[in-house]
Amino acid sequence: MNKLGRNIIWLALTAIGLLMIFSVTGAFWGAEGAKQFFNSIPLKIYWCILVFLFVIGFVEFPRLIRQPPSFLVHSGCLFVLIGAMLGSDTGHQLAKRFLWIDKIPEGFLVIYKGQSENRVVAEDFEHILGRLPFSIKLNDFRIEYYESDKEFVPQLDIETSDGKHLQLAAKIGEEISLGLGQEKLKVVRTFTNFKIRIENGEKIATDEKSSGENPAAEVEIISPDGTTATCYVFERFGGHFQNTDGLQISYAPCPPRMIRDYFSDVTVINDGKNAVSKTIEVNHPLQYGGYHFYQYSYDSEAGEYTVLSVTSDSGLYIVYGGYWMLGLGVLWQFWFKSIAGYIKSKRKIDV
Amino acid sequence: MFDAMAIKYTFQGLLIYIAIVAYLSAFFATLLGGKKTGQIFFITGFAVSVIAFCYRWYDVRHVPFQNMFEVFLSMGMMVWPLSIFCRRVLKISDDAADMMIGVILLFPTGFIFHAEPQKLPPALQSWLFIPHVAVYLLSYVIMAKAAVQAFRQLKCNIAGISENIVGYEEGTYRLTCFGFPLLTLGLILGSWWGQLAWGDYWGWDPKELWSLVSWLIYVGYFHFRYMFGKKHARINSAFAILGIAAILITLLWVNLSNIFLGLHSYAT
Repeated sequence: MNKLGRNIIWLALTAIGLLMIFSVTGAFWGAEGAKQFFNSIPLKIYWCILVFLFVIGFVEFPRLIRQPPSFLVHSGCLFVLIGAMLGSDTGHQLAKRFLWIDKIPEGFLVIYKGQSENRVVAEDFEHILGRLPFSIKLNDFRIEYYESDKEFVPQLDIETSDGKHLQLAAKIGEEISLGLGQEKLKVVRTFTNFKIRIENGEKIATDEKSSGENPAAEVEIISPDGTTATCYVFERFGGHFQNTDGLQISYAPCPPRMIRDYFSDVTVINDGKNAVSKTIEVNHPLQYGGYHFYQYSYDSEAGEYTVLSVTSDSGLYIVYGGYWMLGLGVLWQFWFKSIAGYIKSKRKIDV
Repeated sequence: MFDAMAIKYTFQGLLIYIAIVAYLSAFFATLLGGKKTGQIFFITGFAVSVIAFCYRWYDVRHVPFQNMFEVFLSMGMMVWPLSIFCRRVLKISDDAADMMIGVILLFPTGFIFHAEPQKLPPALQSWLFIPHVAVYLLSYVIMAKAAVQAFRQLKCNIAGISENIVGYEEGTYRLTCFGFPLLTLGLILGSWWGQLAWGDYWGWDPKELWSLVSWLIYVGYFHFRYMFGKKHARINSAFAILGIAAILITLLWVNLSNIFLGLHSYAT
């Protein structure tokens, strides 16, 4: 190896060492801090030097081009670097300035059921980053839960004004006394979807089972003097009832459930026409118009809206190409060559 | 996590303790010169750990790769087949060390990590879950074996129980060549999965950064060895030991400490 070649390898080792130091430093700062650090100007210069080093390596070591596994490994890394550069915020800014390609690097879409949306907002869900050239309509949002392993009776969790914790099965007619000379609670009714209907000017609580979920329980509070008051305790919307005496009641209609998956049924509307329909779920994003849409969050109280994260696909397929090259190259270099050599030597021995 | 020893009074626990005892017996039998007896104990340990793995799989209804308990249980099962492969194909024979690696890997499952079954969160319900974790676990065990070879090379006055057919430096190199593609595939598959689940193939998460550090150490090793060959064998070995240190941080410290909070917290 000549002096220049040796120096290039030393430079490569220095670059690898620096990237290790940067990565360890970034790990202590958390994902957000690391992202900012790796996108800072000194690191941008570092990335450019790294790309340059790969190019010089190809020029100085023709073996890297002549030998397919070495070529795949090194050019795979180069592809990943270039793809990542194109997909970065700076890459998007440069593409807008010099190639007139105006794409939003990343953001969020907050879409209500039955409505369509094209405004991409920042993480606060308020500041608008830009608009997509098409809209996405949310047809439905639903959550699938794991079934509970244990049998569970719906219940009311009660905390009295003096800090006592009690439990009452949420079955019609069940009663509990809060203590000697204190109030009694009685379960009058339970609802799977509590709604208020106004009939002849009067508010009437109804259970509209056909549409949506709003579990609630109607509880009668019976005072020691015999007077009664009715209250409604909801599973959602603050989660508990609290009266002026400091009595707190919360309603648990089902056991604490673990989410299996989230589903957003969406339709892409482009030029007024339905372009694509898809159910977006975790690990199954929608790809359309140079963007990827992922299930990010949802309305945890009423299930009325979904939040999709939006990311531009600029540079992504170059990164994927790099991954394929790197993966194939590494396998070829370290495994396939050895296997071929092993078979060859076996044959020689046999002959 | 470490506030109390998590001793398991269950059938699962019993299987793990039997496997640990079998690996430990294999180690001592080999040390005392009973190579054949050692092998019988080693195979027994492997067979019991396979049963423990399958039992766990049946219990949690998914491949047990989710948390630290399951990850270490899986790695404990990989030791014997890898040991056989390394002896027959790579010509690296270090049975006693392999048996001790088995004990070290199964010990936390028996005494440290809790075994409460957990359901898979949405992000883990992907076909990439199994290959991503499997290749990483395999590469970690191989790199651990490489580190043992490197350590022996550094301290070559320590007599090995069974001599390699190749030297320790060459043994380290062969094992690293065997494990590095798996480490690379783990990184690539994880990145691809991150893109599908979170919309980002690289999220600058502490676990991702530490896994990159591990990978880069081995990249550095190959470049250094390409330049100098076996001339600086001790530095080559230092790279392999540094590599396993980075892997340990990636696997344990990132998940168990509160210093590195990130997207991989479900793995604790």
